[in-house]
Amino acid sequence: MRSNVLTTALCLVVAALVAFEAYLLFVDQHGAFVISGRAKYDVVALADKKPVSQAFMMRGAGLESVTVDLGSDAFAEVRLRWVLWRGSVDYPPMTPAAEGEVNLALRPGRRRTTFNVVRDGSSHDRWYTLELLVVESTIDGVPGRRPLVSVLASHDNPDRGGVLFVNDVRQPGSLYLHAERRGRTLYRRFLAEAAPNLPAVLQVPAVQWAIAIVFHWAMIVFAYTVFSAGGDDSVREPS
Amino acid sequence: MSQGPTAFTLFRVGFARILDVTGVVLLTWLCVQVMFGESQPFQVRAFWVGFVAAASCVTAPGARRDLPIPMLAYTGIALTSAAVHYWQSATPVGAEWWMPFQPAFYLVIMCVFVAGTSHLLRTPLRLSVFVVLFVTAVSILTVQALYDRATFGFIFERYGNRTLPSVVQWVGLHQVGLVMVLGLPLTLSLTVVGRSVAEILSGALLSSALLLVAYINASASGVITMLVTTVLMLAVKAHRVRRGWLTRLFYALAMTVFVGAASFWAMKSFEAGETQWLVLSGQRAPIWQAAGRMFVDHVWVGVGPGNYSHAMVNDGYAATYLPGYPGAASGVLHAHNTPLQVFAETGVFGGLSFLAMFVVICHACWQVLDRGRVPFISLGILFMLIAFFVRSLTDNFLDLSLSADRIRVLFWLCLAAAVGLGRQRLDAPAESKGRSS
Repeated sequence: MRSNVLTTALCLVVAALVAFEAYLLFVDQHGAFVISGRAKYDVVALADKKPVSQAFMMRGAGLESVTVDLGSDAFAEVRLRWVLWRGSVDYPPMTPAAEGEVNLALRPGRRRTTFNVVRDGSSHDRWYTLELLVVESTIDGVPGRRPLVSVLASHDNPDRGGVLFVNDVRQPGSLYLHAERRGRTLYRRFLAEAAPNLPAVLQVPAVQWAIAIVFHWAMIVFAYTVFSAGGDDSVREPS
Repeated sequence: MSQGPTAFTLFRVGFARILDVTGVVLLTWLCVQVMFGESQPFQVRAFWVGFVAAASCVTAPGARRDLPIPMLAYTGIALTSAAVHYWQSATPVGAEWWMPFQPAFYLVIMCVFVAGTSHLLRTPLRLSVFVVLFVTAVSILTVQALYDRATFGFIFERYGNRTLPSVVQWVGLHQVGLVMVLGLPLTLSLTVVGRSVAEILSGALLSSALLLVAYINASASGVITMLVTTVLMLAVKAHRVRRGWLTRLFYALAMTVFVGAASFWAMKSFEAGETQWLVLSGQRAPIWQAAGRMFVDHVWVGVGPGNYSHAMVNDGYAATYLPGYPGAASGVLHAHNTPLQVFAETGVFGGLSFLAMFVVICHACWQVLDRGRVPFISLGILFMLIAFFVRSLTDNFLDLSLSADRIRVLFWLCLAAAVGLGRQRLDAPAESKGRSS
């Protein structure tokens, strides 16, 4: 009875895991590269119309948008110019991948702002620089006074945190940045990036599928055996 | 008339159960982060997981709350050594009370984590879940490492391709290899203990895959450790098998072939005109010599936890023993041998208690194995710890210079599983069966 319950439970778990794995391998195309430090602060130099830039090395192909957290101390209308450069000061040449000006209605506090770009299919491990510049800003109903517009950054520089520039001067830390991508599925990436470098026999799809099936079979047998042993806890002498 | 449980007892049991479930959830999340997450303060998180689990352990009626005495002794000696060296130096005015112990504080976190997590992993069923999830995580990392190498056309650089995602995540190919070293005993135990063809074959397949990818990953120490672990596990099997002289002869021959191959390789190195010991040690011999000298010079309390690198440079060991210093700084950061560095940093008592910690925990696991209970799990976890120790003879993965935050927590997890397993030896099978269900 216990064995039947265990078998049924394991079958359900295995089915769910295989379905999830299939989704990740063959369906899922989206992903995100995030730079998120711990010691956060607001870069207020943006309010003084000084450019704030963040160079970062993108992880994953298919970059299609970049998001930052803008902040303000009041209800404000802000005209922001942004440029996404391909390359960085340290990795020239820098060519504009996308640029534009947006009118933002900010509230007191922080607000996520996304800059959409034309999808770059070869963004993986490529340097980009996001540059922000406030062109014009006014507080609602208070003409002549500028709001304290800022962008969220961190004093610490996490893994792959890139380089932060304020007014073209290199700074410690990095912007809080969220780069969305829509790239190849993992299986398509495998076919494009890894498969051509495999030995000839392993490039045959039938061999690849056979290896995958045998590997999964081995994992399932392993899991079933160990769960049975753990759940049963009977004395069993090694033979 | 029997008296029922009091309201307080019921509250206590319920509270312990809530903490238990919370602890399991937090532990699972911590494990996922350690295996696949970006860099983060894992030790701090491990402390909170251990704290919640330890609270569950303290609250639960009748729970085992002991820790191996050598582990506590090692922690105490390291704290004392740290304090002694702090007070010997110029003590800053107004320093906090805990400052003298700070270099060895991570060992206190280790004790809290192991105490709590071993309580969470107290039943065979929970240990089996841990083993399966751990092997799954190791397999995923192995596939990632293989994919990374294939993507770069299997082109190797000295010290590995540092831009590979798996290498970046673990800050070095040796650390990636260490994960495979820890996974191998768990998969191989299926082959060693299994009865059916499916069990033996699946264990052999998974183990071979780990070994192959470890070879491709190019950490020679990792591959050698895996081979040594395999031979030791087969030796244990030969020791326990009761089929007569033919099987024993087979295993004796297997060991002879292994030892013979190692000797042949050593002789070839010698004939090639290289200094044999230097080659055999992977250029680590001078480093070990320097660390050994450091220990002899500070035999009672060592140079203090975390002071190895400072002593190597400032006390002249590096200049005396390391060839090419200061141009080549290999060996300055850590001793490439964990027990040796522990001896050098905490002295003879710290080193002995560190070794005793392994011996006591492994002995408890061996007793569980010897009784024939949960053999897959007990053999796997026992040799996971042994494999870590063997691997630690050529590198120090617990040192700060080698992404220790992630690997320390991984090591503590192995310790906790082993302590949890070791407690099974004192439980009657029927009782344990009841608890596991």
